[in-house]
Amino acid sequence: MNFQSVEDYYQRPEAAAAIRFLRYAALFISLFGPSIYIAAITFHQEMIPTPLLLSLASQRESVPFPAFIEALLMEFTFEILREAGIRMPRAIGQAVSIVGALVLGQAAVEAGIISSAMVIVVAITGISSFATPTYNMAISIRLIRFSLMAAAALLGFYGIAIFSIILLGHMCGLTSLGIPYMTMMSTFVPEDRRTTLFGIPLMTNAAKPQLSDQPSSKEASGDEAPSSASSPANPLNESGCP
Amino acid sequence: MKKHLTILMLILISLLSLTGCWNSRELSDMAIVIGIGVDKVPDSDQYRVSLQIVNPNMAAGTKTGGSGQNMLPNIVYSSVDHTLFSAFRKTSQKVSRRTFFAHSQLLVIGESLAKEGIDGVFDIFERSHELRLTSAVVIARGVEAKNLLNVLTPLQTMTATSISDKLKLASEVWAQSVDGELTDVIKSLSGSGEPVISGVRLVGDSSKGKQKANLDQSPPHANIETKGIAIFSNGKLALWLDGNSARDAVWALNKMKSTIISLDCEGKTKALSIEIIRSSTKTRVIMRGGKPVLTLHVKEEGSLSETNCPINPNNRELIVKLQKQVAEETKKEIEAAVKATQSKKSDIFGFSTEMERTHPKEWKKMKKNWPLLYSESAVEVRVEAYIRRTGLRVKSYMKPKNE
Repeated sequence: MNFQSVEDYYQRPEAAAAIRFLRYAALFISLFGPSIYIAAITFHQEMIPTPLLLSLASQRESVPFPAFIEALLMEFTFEILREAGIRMPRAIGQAVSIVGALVLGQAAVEAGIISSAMVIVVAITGISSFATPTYNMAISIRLIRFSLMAAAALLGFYGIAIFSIILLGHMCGLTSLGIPYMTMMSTFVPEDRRTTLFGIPLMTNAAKPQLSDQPSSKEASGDEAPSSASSPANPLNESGCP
Repeated sequence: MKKHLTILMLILISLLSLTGCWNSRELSDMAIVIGIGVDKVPDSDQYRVSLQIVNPNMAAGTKTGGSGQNMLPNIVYSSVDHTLFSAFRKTSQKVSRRTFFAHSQLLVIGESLAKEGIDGVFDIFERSHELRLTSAVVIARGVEAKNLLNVLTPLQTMTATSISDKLKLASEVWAQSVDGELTDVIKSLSGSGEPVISGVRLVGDSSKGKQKANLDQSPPHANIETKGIAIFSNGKLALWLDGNSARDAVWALNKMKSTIISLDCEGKTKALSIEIIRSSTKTRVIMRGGKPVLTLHVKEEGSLSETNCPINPNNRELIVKLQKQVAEETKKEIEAAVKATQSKKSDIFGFSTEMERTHPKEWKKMKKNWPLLYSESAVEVRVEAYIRRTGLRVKSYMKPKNE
């Protein structure tokens, strides 16, 4: 859905599938990146490998803020830069991004306000957030990220887990034009989901999704998969969650 | 809905000011303990606990640190108390940051404490959630644990890491020490066997080793090296096995990974070396006439790695002869190692566990005086040795003399 892109169907399916997995990874990073970093260095130092911990500790020696404030500062600045970059004329836009990169990446670290590890985390998070093809999805992830960071600063990985569960619950409660948002997962029809998750050749995907209201050519011929038997005639009344 | 949102926003905003959260610790408020040393205070029942704390500015070697370049990579703080944990806490009088134990990589036990018995030392390591059971354990030979941790080491900036790495490497390629973790020691202390712990010693001038000047010279004024294996009896240090006898203990313990065996050839002593690349030891106890007989079955594979005499390994008979020599040498050495532990009534090889497993009825009777029975049991060693390769060269370039 949100991770399909038109150009996927112009590539060989293997390549498209691989790229799509890359997008899933980018989603994960842009959603959880800063919060995992915050949780690990303020709560779970014992799970960072010792050499890495020492390196992080030496970077954080001179940083005056707690990790959460530091991350918030950087993420906020990044969001400003991003928004400003969109509004600005194209000719100046590049200059701004150079200034932004220099100010954020170099000067802030040298001034001892931000640790260089945080710059890396924010940078990879920011870049990952551009990898989601759908803008609607990308923008909600941008916002949810901040709440996740707060949860991580409050309770560590425990907080991240709690927030993720709340988020999942919220997703199950959503409806779009009367159809539950999670219909894709709850009434799971493997044949329909092949292209959603992996990306397969279009030719093998000729059949209509079985959840749509008209019977597909497959169903009409009586060649039904066991799961399609349970798929409701009217999915609108079906609960969105398993 | 609006009300909920307001409450949520309030909670989120309050987070900004409430950063002192449950269990949350900033890295810059922590003193990372990398090594722990335990000594006995002479003529009292108190422990002296030394904590080696990393100075992160120096340890990571970052360029951006700037100010920290001339500081020491690690600092040792000691405190004296009756229990280890209270001594840990007492250290807070001296350290400005909260001690953090989860990255401790080494436990050093002073030799004098080891001689009096190490039973009491390990409880805290299992009981406390702050400490790790995976750190290496060594015994400081002829030196106090505190002084050992104080030595600054080249290559590895942190002393504790340096020692645990040396131990790991030496046990892998030279096999005269064992890379024992805390769990292994505790396991053998709680069973009916005895622990084996490697020794480390200080070579050189310990007072100069503390100073930064120690690293200004090659070789350093003071250095730390692994040396020997400590054999315990009743939880007390009874005997040091050194050199080849330490290696044989490793062999009998089935911890042999790789080592070098030197053989005589054509009249030259120790002129030919075989690298052991694979070895496994099976320990069994068989009952013969109501008495336990300890058997060890070693299977080893090696390759010819160096020869100083003109031999031709193309010759199958020669290889068979060398194999016999290797087996003979191994057998001799292992027997000596087992005899040495028998003389101290210290069953480090886990024969007691084997006995309990295979002969439960007899074990019940023997359990009580097992150390004595162990010391009197007969030992049978069987060795199969194979030489698989001769390196990149077959025949040596050296010419036979009598040609």
